[in-house]
Amino acid sequence: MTDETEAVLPLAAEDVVTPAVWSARVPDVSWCPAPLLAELTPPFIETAEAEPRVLRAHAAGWRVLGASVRGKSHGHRGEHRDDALASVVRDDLMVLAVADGAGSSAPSRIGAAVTADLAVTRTAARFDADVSNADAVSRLGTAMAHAVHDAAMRLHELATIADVAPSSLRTTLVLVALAGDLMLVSQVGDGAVLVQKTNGDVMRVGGARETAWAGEVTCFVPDPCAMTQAAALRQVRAADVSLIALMTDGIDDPFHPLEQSGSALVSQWRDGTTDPIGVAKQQPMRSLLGDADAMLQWMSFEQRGEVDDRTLLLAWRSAPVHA
Amino acid sequence: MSLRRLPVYILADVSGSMRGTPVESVKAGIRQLHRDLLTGPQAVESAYLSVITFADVAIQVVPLTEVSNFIPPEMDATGQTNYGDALRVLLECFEMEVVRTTADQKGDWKPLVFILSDGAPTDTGWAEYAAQLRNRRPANIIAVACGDHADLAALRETTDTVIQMRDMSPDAFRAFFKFVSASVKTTSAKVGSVGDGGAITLPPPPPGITIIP
Repeated sequence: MTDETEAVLPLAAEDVVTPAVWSARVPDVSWCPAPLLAELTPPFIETAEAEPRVLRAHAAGWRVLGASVRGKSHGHRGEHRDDALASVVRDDLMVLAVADGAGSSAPSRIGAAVTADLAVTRTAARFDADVSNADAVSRLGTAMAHAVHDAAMRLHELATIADVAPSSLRTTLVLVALAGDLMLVSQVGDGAVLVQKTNGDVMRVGGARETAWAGEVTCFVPDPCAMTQAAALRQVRAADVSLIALMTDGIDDPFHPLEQSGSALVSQWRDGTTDPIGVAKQQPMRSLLGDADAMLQWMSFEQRGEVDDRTLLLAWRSAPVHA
Repeated sequence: MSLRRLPVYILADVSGSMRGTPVESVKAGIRQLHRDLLTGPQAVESAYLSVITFADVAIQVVPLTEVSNFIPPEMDATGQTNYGDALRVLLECFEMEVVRTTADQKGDWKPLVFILSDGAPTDTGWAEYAAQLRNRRPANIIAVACGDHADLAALRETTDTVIQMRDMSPDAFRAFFKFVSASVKTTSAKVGSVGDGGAITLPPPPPGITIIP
């Protein structure tokens, strides 16, 4: 009896620990560090929320919908979202960007927001200002490269003002521009661009993985290497494209490799979820195209260990393309 | 689309010189580490723990196990310090247990390794394995020189990150394993954003533990 009693003695109280569960806390610090308040005017300040940010736009032949949501990790620690998205959508030009501030540095959310915004606005401004006789690829590509350079220089300025190292503002950048029959993709760091062609094929454009380990990014804006990476443009014939998806690694990683999961993803976005992809837990829902609530619901998919911020920016043709 | 894990390996010297309070403190420290990690949801989801002990030979006493299923091991201290065998077993574990990203599969986070040793290698082959670790850089390795008799040179040949813990009291080990826990939580919280070629930023070490430049 004594032996049996000893065998079932409970563990010491200190050895019994219930695994922690996720919480979601409102950040208790300002999104924008005080030294930069005077530098960052709307729309930046408007991103200073733990809540999702939704972006909508349209132009002749295209509609755009994007959302950026805070990941569970940031939510649990009461931190702001580090992802950002931005667009310039006109009848003659569409520029889209998503960015992911490097999580190892707290102010990187500023870097992501500023970089995404400047990447699209400066691309458009520089493209408009270029009255040279250069071909479209050269003009648009040069505008994109200069825009990334502008963003990098701005981050250096802000770092000086905030008295932090420029590396504190590090961010990835995925930048897409369409003008006429030309689509160009520029990328620094991770994230991805998926394209669905008018024949239904889905392909990833650029953005190969950099290292053997998850989460390792070797180059960010405003590192010197960013200009080299940004200048490695990928070109697609815009007339062949029916849908474009830009995403940060919070979307890309759970569905790696996109070369295999891309078609199923686009099918979900277009038609609504039918079957889960991989191990991600998703619920049936309607098409995401034009429906921000559906997009936010889709982006709430559960996959163990995937706790990053998530940003998805979709552009799709609003009318059929006839060859 | 498999789970991405943060593999964490503890290599514990259990040679004769660790007998008594030091090995008991390491055991208690690992139990404490386990409890601490259970308090962080990101560590619960991502961190996987393994324990490798080394004396005359090295043994992986706990294979890579998710935190919620981890059972802290028993350890006895006796024998020599076969450091080379410890590094060999570690390299084997990397090959067998750690997943690298390929075109078809998603890899783990870069492993985190803590090596605790209070003495000098008694084997002759350790330098070969240390060189492999240095050249291949398959993990972020933190070597801990415990006490005054640890072979700093051997640890430095294994990794750039060497910390010194002269005090081998239970309190010192407790503080060290708090540091390990904080390192794991920090690393698992920074996933997706590690720059500078994968180097990690360690939390500040507790008093009495110094990072050797």
